[in-house]
Amino acid sequence: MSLANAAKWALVLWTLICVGLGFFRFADTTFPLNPPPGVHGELHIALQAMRAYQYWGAIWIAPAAALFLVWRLRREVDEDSASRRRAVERRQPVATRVRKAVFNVHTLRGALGVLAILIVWQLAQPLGIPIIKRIPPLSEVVSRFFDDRGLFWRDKYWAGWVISLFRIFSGFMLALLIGVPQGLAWGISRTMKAVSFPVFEIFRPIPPLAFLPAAIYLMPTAELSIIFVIFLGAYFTIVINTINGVYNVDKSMQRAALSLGARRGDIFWRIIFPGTLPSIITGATVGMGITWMVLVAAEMIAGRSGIGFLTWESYTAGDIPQVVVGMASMGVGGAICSAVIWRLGVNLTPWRRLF
Amino acid sequence: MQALLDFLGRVEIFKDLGRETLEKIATVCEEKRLPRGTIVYRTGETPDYFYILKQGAVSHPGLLGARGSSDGLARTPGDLFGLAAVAEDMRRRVFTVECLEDTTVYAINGARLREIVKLDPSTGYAVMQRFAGLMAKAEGFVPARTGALSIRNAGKIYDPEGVHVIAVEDCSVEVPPGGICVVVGPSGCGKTTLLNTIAGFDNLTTGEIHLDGDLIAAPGRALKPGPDRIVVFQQGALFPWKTVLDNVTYGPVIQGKMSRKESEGHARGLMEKVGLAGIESQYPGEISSGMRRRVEIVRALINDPKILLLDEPFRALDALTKSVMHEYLLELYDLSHKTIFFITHDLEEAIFLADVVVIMTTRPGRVKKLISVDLPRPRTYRMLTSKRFLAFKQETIEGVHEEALKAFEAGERELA
Repeated sequence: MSLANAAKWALVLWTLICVGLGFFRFADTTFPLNPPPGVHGELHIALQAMRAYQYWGAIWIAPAAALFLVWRLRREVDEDSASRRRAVERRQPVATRVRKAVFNVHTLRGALGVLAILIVWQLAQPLGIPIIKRIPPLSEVVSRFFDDRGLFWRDKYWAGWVISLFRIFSGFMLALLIGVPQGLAWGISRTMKAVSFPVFEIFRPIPPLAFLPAAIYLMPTAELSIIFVIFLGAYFTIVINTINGVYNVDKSMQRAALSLGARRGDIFWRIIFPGTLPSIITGATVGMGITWMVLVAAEMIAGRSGIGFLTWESYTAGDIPQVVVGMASMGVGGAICSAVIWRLGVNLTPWRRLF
Repeated sequence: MQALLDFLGRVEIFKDLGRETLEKIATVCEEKRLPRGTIVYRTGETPDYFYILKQGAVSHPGLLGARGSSDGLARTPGDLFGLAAVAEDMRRRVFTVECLEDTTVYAINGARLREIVKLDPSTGYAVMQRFAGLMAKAEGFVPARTGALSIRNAGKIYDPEGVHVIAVEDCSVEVPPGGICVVVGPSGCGKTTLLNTIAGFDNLTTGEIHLDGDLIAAPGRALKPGPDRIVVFQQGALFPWKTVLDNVTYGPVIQGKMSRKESEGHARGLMEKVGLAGIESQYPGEISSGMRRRVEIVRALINDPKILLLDEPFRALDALTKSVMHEYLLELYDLSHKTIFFITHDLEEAIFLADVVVIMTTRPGRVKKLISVDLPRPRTYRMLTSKRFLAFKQETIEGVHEEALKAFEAGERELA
């Protein structure tokens, strides 16, 4: 395993270098706020943003690669683990899985619920339901979305998706990368927690958005300040959930492992970590939700692009149907992200699929 | 007389003996009728007699399970039991026997038989050898000659500088190898503390604990928890993220004692033997709580511990499952004869399982009374209503009730 260890540490080092380089490179980047006029002006923004993000992207690509490698090595070690065999055994063909996921009674009920809301929305004006009747009806919003000057046809909208998702992803990944190890460390070591937890507790109640003015002032670019605020949104939840997850790992489980001959390292990697995993996933799911809330507000204030910014722009232009389009987009984006996290969680904790 | 001679002649072990010797044996034979349920060689009796089955059926509980249930029985006329009575100075090694139906036996004084057979000029020596061989074979099926637990004046004080809670004080218990020691006592009397110190999770403030002569706990000295003293916890501690098979193989694999393949083969074999086949690839969350307890006990046994520490393992089970689990545990016990240190609140459970019941006083926990339960093994649920069982229960209740009352009045919180 020495080779594997060497590979692991090499990757960690590389990650650190990437983070450093990425940070300085990114700090230098100024966004092309005024792209050269052209047919695909907005697409140009998106491409520029992605180019700027490529170093930044190294931050999460490198750890992802490291995790993947560790996972592969682990798998070779545990080749014959019954748990893994079991997980593989239960995996059905993709077609079957998709069919089962789409055509089942739960999906149907969900669709019915969405449909009901859509109907109420559409009929609110004719029926005169208070407050809701002032929202532009569904048909109007849809036609606004698809009409000649509708967002559907504009690069700005799709570039906004890309940029917003990048921001979410960067902030969220940072929160996971920092928050999970920190939560685990605090959960395990009373000393570490005693020293630094009070500071954390003072910062925690401050809403992420309250950090925004300070972040804009402190961070080299507006982009970084948005990501920082998004990071804060997910970070606190993830840390708190991870700590509680460690505390909730049954003490007798650790004792049983000791009694069966496990060493301290085994206890951490094979008992505490898998035992905390469900809580980490819960934290990540909640954190992802907060991330979207924060994103929009941050983009409204500090951003010049993204879905949140588009929504704000539409409001200032008095285009209420388009505001609703923006809102719906955020809703869908958030739902997709949550679904992805949930799905990952299910795959990471196959033993909980039973419940 | 002639019939007896013919019968003796047909007994496998006596063939080749001269007619004169057989006649001599016949004179010392006493025919005995043993009604159903009679227990021969009860603990504490001196087993002078060796028996030849004439008719009926008896069980050899000590051998049950180890040889498969049918082999623990003597049914055919001419079967022998109490071989150790024939050997010199081995009388403590006979196995308890229970008559399953009305039985007729020939009882022969072991020492006399030995003298007579030895005198046979031609084959006496060979017959004695045969006796020795048979006995050795039976002994081979009764493993576990390790796991002698000795707790001497053990004491534990929590927070000696501050609150000074005396959890256990001057507690001394001896458990012979392969014995089942059940500790009962009111909540908070330090039973679990005692178990934790044996397991190595906690240390003692006075006294010492030995396992097979090795010091495992003394003030300022505690042997790390290890696979020679495995604990089964009251809430259950199977790892939910591992399948049943991975849980069972966890010990051997993490200790590096076996490769994963090897240990899985071993685990499958063991699980099949104890009736757990077919659930290997299930997660613990998918099986019943009774099943989980069984898996947990198997997970402990696969490590071949010297002693099994059970901390109220059946507390969370319903009464019906519990009674089945008791028989199951005893079945496993017969397979391995591990020393068992068992903690419980349930007196019936205690008596049903135990060789010796230790009643502890309310805090500070001291040994109030030791009751040795000499009910024969294997024990079945029918015994729960037998007179002897009830007598033991009475004795235990009297011991415990007083303490429970004291604990109740003191209103103390249970100490973990």
